[in-house]
Amino acid sequence: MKNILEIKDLKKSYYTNNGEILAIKNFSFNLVKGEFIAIVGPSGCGKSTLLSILSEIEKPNEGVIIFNDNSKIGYMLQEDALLPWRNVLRNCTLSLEVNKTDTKENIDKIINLLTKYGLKDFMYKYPNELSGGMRQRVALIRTLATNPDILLLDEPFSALDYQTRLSLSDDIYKIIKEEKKTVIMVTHDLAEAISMADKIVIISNRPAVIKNIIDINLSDKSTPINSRKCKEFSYYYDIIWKDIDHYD
Amino acid sequence: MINYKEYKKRKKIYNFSIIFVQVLVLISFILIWQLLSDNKIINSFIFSSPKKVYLTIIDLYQNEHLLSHIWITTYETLISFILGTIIGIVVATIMWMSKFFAKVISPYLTIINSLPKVALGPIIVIWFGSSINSIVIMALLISTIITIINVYQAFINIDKIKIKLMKSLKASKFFIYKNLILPGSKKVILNTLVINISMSLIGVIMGEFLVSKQGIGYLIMYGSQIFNLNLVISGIVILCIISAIMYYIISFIEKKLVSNN
Repeated sequence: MKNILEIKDLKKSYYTNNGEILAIKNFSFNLVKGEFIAIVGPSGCGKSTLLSILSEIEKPNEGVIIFNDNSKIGYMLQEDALLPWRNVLRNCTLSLEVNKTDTKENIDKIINLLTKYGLKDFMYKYPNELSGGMRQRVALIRTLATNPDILLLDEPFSALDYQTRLSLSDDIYKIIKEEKKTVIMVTHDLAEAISMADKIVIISNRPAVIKNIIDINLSDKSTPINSRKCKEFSYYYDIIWKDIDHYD
Repeated sequence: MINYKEYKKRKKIYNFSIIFVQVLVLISFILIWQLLSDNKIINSFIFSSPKKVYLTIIDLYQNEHLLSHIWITTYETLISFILGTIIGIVVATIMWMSKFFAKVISPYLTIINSLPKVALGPIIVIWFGSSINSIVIMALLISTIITIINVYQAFINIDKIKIKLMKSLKASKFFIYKNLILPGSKKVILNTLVINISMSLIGVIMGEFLVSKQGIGYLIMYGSQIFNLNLVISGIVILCIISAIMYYIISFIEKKLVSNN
């Protein structure tokens, strides 16, 4: 299988008045096209920093990141960050406007996506008229608008209640699989990671280094909710739980 | 238990009684003032009386070009208001664009903001002449600084996650300004306009006190110099009316623009 993304010897540190804080070190990792990777680790361990570097919001101190086949990144943030003064459609076309690619053809593509994923009737509504789950779906479609090859998901469900969380992870999983995207998802919810990912990367407390990589082979991977019902689910939960750094 | 009809009726009565008492307070104030001066309990030479104020205003209107004084004061206030708002937003924008500039300018803004501007009056008159220029400068000093501070605060209080979103889309600084910072600060900017119109009027009257050529501020100053308290109090009454009208016009525009989201 072909690597769509290669990360080699990444190092990132922040400088403050009290000195240097090392966030990430010796981070090397390859991503295969079509894979769904979940990165888990203790909170504040530099998971979000990694996504910021991959989306070029921040620069690493050392290391190389290679995007093969001109693959593009789409970043879905922890919060939906919808602009309240724009309607759903205009929120989704934001990224097109940045690149000045808001042609009728591209806008029609977004309308198709909104229609396909049940947001057609809400296209001209404003974000405050939408439920939390819907807002997060709009945020995903906004991320898909520029047609990225790799999606970065930063705790995409963390702001939602448990019910919505479960059903939305099903929805998002379905969209991602149908659109054939490669995904890196950051989360601290182990069950969420196991239910969605093909491979789980466990990273240590700060500075973030890779502790272990575990392939997930569940008998039913049709949807995250079905995955949670698999017998092997608790087995994976146990081994990942043991690998993660815990605070006493 | 009350039903909706009853609720509406009670609400109507409540709102009406507020206005009724407000008007009652005003009328009793005027009546008591008149009675006190008619019965020589207060000296009407110093305290004037509603009747005298009324007669003075009529006289001003007929013989002293009252309307042109009102127009001059309004005109100066509008000029200062428009200039103050534009300068305020432009400076706040530059501060947002350059953090370095913002840090450099911030102590100066704090000092100028806390300085009683009237202390600068004599210098302003000498530098800019005894003309409308000095009046506008005075009003700008008062309104612009507060606009800069308020608008800049709004700019930097924009949700960080939305800035991050824009950065992840690789938006330019100008794009972020136009599509996030400006629309996100709309409410604060409109609120600032309402404060600004009052600030401009304060500055204009202070300026007219110093320059003393025309306008309501001049009438008040002139009245006090020739010890014509009727003129002074009439000036204040007219000023109350002007400021109330301006405030309500701007608030009305603000409400229109806010609801028009």
